[in-house]
This record gives sequence, structure tokens and C-alpha cells, in this order.
Amino acid sequence: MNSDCAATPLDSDRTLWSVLARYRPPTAWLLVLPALLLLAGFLFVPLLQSISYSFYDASMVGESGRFVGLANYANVLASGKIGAISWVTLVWTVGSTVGQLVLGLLAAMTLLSMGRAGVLMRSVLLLPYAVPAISLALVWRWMFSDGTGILTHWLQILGLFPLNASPLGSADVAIWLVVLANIWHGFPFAMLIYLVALQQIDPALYEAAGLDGANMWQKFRYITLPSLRSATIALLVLRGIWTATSFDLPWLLTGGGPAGTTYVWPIWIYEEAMGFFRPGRAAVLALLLGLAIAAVVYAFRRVIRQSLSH
Amino acid sequence: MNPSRLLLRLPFAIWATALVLFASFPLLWILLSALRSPADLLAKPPRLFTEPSLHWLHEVLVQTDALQWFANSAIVAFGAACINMLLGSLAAYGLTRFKFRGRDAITLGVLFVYVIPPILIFLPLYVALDQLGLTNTYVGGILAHTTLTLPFCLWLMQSFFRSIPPELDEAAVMDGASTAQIYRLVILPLAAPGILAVGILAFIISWSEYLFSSTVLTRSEMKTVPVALAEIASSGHAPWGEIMVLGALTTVPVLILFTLIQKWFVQGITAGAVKG
Repeated sequence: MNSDCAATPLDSDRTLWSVLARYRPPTAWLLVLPALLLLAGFLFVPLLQSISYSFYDASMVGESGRFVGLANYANVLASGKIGAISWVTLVWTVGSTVGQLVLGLLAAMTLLSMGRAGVLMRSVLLLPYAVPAISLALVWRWMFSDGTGILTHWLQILGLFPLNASPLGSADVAIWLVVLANIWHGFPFAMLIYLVALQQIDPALYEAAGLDGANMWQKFRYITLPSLRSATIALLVLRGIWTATSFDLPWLLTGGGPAGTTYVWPIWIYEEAMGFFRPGRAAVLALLLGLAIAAVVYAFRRVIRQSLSH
Repeated sequence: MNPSRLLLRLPFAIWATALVLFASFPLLWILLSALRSPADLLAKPPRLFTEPSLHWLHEVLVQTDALQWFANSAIVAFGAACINMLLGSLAAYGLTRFKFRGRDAITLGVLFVYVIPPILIFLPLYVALDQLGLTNTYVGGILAHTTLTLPFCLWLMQSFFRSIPPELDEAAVMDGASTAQIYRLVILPLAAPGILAVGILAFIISWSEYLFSSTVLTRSEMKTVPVALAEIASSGHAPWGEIMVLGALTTVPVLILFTLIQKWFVQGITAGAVKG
């Protein structure tokens, strides 16, 4: 590193700026370059390579294969699976995201109304976010297992589930248990964002509304909810993208079963590549998902930028 | 508190308790199940509390290669954490303290890279590592996990670096300090807790990761805990006692580490502050 190279602090006033303007760009580039190279080499280039894979018929991951033009695209479109898998992915994404937001908001409001006790409670409510997907998937399978599962047992006592049946093996119920697992996993994130957004609401608004005779529901409906609009949109987009593309939890929890009722798009990508050894088709599926994500990111680019930039 | 107020508080107290139970029950259940005797574990119907037993812990340590899996996980996660701290802090310093052509484009680029989902790159990433001969090596695992965590870590570190007042650098420049000196003597001591917190976060993400590990580290002596655990659980008759012990041993360190860095995590996540 160049030792005579001065740092140029940002946001300094003009005169100081001109005095300090001895910076040499190479220093900054030297600092940023290693991270950039790694991300370019292992993230950006692989992403572009996916496009080329989609035109080849390799029968093994890492093999080059024969150029087949659009055959992989045609095969995927003709597979007859797109409709059903898209539907499951949509239910899983919307159900998880909406559930996380609703529970996150309720939890945030609960914490705020608890004062100091809320600080300790927040630590407990944050824990699910850190739990590894594998642990979550396995304890969920264990709690909802047939006969020995504690939650299966309680559901049966309450008469909510028939005896001698396994909730995760039931085609009607499984998807909602997977969604519930994801809500459990992700609601703390929404809770954190909503905590900040709620604290930014001017208390004077509530006082004024109180003087005008507004009740609790009216205050929530006409002050709280509108103030949370941008936080909600950002959370919907970010959690939505994250859920639509998440693989670990659904794969480890059900592997797509029973009868394909929890078979989400990322599982399809993984199975084409690692199970059926058709990386070309996996690349097509990844690209289609990527395009869908890109469309969402593009449509909401301002919200994403606003919510993620400092 | 008068009786009518107490009555009003009661539904709230029940709701708050339910919320805490909802969040903590699965975690308690892993622990309670891991500490069960074989008979209690498979009792029908299951009971909430039973006599604690170390049977399955003993079984796991004697019968499985658990120590090897945990060592693999720890090595990969530690390596990923170190690279994240090194590359992340240097880049964050460069991006927050210098003005140069392309800086905004890079900041924005990192932001969008953060949105790229792992499922879209695991395949070409595997191929790239394979061509470099790095599959089934610790270096390969570390690189794969660093790819996963670096955008997020870099983004968090930028927020910590920004919170250090630029006046401090200015004063150091006036005193004739070099860039390297400013970084080492002014920035680093102030940013160190944040950098360490981000490193711990990278460790947690890497420790928990399944997708990349399951493709890059496949040989039995290279497997990380999530991959080994998933395989054990997918066998026809899942040995739930061993699974719960391994699950508990995977989860508890993560929860402790996460609680340690919670303050930083919350601060970093909410620094962007989605404005109301």
C-alpha cells in the first residue's frame, strides 16, 4: 500500500476538501479489488455460464456435451410440470411471506408495548432466525411425526387431525406445515424492520387522533398501517424473492412430497442437476427463475435500493 | 393494579406468552428429545418431560463420525469467516472512505449481487471449483461459502464503517498519517467489534449452509454436519435419537454466537432503515 497516499474523507467541507484532495485512486481500488474479483469469479461469471449450459446436452455436471440449441427449453416447456410446480411455489412464497409479515408486525407491536421487558423478549423472538435450516427441518419432521410426534399428538387430542395419520405425509396438510416452518424461521426479520418503522411514527399523530376521539382500531388503521407502507413493500419483495428461491428448508423438510404437493421450483432445479444429471435443463430452469426474479427486482428497483442503501 | 385493569392485561399476557412459546418450543423440543432414553423417545403418546438421559449423545460419539463432521464444519466456517472479515473490511473501507470513479456503481453492484439466490449459481459454481480441482477440499468449501456470505457481510460492514465519524480521518490526515496508518490506528480499533460481529455472522451462515456443501463436499471424510445429518435423516428408519443429538449440537453453538452478536445484527439490519 502506498504510504504517502492520503485518505480523502467524504462529506468534509469544501475548503478542507481541496486541501485534502491529494488522493490517488489506486489505493481505493486496491482495497476493493480482492472482494470484487472473488464475487466476479465465483458469482457473476458462473451466472453467465448458466446461460451457455442451457444450450448443451451434457449428461453430467461439469461435462460440456453437445450443442442442442433450444432443445432443453423445449423439453422443459413440454414436461407438463411447469403449471403445477409454479402453483406450489406461489402458494409457498405468498403464504410464507404474508405469514412472516403479519406475525412480524404483531410481534413488533407486542414488544413496543412491553417497555423494558420487551428487550429480553426480543432476544428470544429473534432466535428462530438463526436456527440452521437442517435443524429446523428435522425438528419439524420429528414434532409432526406419526405416533411419536408431540404436535401430531396434540392435534389429535384436540380432534384437529385423524388418528394413525402423519400430518407431513398428508397431501392436504403438508404444504401448510412447510409454510408454517418458514413463517417460524423468517418472522423475526420482519419484526426487526417493523420495530424500526413503528418507532419512526410521530407519537403526536396518535395524541391528536386520541383528542379527536379515534379508538384503537382507527388509530391502527389510519395512522399505523399507512406509515408502514414502504417497509411492507420492501419486506414483501425481499422476503418474497428469498422464499421463492430458497431450497434448503423445503428440500430437507419434505423433499417435495407427499405427491409433489410441496415440490417448489428450486427443488426442481436441484433434482434436474443432481438427481437426473441433466444440467442443461437445470440451467434452463434456473434462468427462468432468474428472469422472474429480475423482473420483480426491476419493477421494485427503487424500493429495494431505498431499503438497502444506507 | 385494580382488578379491571388486570382483566384487561390478561389477554395480552396470554398472547405474549403464546408468542414466546411459539418461538422457543421447537428449540426446547430438540433439547428435550436429545436428552431422552430410547424408551422415552419412542413412547406413544409422547410425554412432555422425561428423565434426562445421555444415551443418544454417547451413541453419537461412539457410533458415528460426528467429530469429523463437526471439525469439517468448523474449519470451513472459520475459513469463510476470516476471508469475509479480511476482504469485507478492506472493501468496506475503500467504498466508504474514498471517492473514486465507479464507486457508486460498485456499491450498487454489491447490493444486487446480494439479491442473487444461491440456487441459481450452485451448478456453475460447482463446475468452476471442479475445474480448479477444489471440490472435496476445505479451500473449495471456504470459497463456496465466502461467495454466499460476502455480499451480505460487505453490505453490513459498510454500515458500520459509515457510523465512524469522518472527522477522525480528517484529524489524522492533518497530523500527517498515511492511509495504512489511518486504517490501522483510527478505523480498525473502532470498527473491530463490528468486523468481528460480521465474521461471526459469516461463521453462522457457513455452519448452517446445505446447498453448496452438498455439492462441493461430498466425500464422506469431507462432509459438513448439515450434509451428514440430512443423509442420516433420509434413511428409511430415521434414528431420531441420534438425529436430535446432532441437531442440538448443531443449533446450540449458533444460538449462543447469535445472541452474542445480536446487538450488531440488529443495528446492521436496521441501519438502512426502511423509512416510514
